[in-house]
Amino acid sequence: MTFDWAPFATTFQLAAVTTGILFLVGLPLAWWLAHSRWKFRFVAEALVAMPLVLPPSVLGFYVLILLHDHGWIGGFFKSAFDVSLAFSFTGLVIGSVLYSLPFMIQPLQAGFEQLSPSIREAAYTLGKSAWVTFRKVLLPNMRPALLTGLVLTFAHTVGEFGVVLFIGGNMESTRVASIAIYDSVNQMQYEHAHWYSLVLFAISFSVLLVVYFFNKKLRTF
Amino acid sequence: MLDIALYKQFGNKKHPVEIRFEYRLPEGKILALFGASGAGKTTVIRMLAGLTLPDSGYINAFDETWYNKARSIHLKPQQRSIGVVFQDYGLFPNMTVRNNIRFGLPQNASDHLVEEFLNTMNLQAHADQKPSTLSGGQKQRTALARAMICQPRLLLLDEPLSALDHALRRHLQSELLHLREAYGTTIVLVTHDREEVCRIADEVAVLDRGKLVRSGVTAEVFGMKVAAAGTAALKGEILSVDGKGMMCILVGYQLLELPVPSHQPDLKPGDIISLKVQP
Repeated sequence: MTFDWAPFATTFQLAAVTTGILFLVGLPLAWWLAHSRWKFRFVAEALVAMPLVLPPSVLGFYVLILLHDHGWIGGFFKSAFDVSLAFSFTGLVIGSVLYSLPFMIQPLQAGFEQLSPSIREAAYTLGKSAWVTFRKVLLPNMRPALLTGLVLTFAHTVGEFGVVLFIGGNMESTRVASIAIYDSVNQMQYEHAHWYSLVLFAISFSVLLVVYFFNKKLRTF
Repeated sequence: MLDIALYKQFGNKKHPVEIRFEYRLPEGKILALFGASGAGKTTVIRMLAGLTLPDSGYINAFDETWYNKARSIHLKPQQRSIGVVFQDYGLFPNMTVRNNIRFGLPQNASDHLVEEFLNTMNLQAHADQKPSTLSGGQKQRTALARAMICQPRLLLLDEPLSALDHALRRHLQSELLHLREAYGTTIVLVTHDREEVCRIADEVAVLDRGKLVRSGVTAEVFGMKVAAAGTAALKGEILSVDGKGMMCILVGYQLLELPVPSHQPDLKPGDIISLKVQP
């Protein structure tokens, strides 16, 4: 039996799409969490952090309930667009976005909170708009937080198992590397399981090396 | 003319502070907001800058209305002709000194102006350094250059000299006066340093728990007796004299450290001495 590299392609595609979506969603959400004076902000913070403590099977189960063809969200997509979310790549992305949410939001929130308010206000008093200030002053000064959020989200998505098993199952189009390891072990193909595991191990280690190396460099201003 | 009336409540329910600040400052003058911590000086500066919204009142600055509650006018900081030097300077850590100073200028602005300000502020040698490598004085000069380069009509300074040593503070006070002369900028300065007020402010507004308790020309407010054109006399009590020929003097409620005059080597703690202040 030949070694199947397709699960890695699916894994990295999923990780890239999830990271991209979470970056776009995470920046405004983290900004709001860092600056909101809403007295129930802690509720939002707890919700964002939930995937850190929730068993992946619990999250996977509820997301599956929502996404299957008769669920609230899945039912709508099925009837409106004739698209099934459960056991599809799109469903995997939705589950991954929810599961990796704190890995993007928390570093970004900490990054925003560490910035002195006076640099933002100084830019305003120099005539710069909120967007220019965000792009030229705030983002460049929280590069370590950006890198941490991006890399941890990517790495965490690469290593997902429980949530993707529930939402994606073990179909060819949704089989990611972690599922392939599980599948190989079940079929007693230990050599394949070794290869999948080694590649995931190497990627995870490289990712952490990148984070620690560049975070040190990016902090040098 | 800067014509302002600002009202704002802040603090918590147990200790509310109400700011009531009304003032008319002629263009080109330096006004010092003087008072203890918590008097509301910084809040006044922030309201002038548009960074804090007043509860009511108005700001008429140089024939424009920047804020008027009754007419629902509230110009954003970007729309006001202001330069602000924050207490912590607010320099952009990712940019060099040159780029910090250049930041407020339009993209197509000539580098000539930046070089001129680098020269004026004696920052040429540090132009390519990041703020984290600068001393307190260099940071302060960078912040001042950045605030001044767009030639704002109103310069707001929030205790910018408080973290500096005495000699550097005096040097930068002189630079501030020089900038005012060169550009005719109206300046509002927050300080709790009475010496600083006497040295550079034309007018002073004394705030106590948000209320304007005294205001007017500096020499009159602080009861300084004008001895001659451009000089003023102060009385102080010597608190201590150290072995290195330095004495600590209490003037009002400001401590000054000065060398013991060579013609009066016998001065001792408890002696009252006269000081002449020259702007």
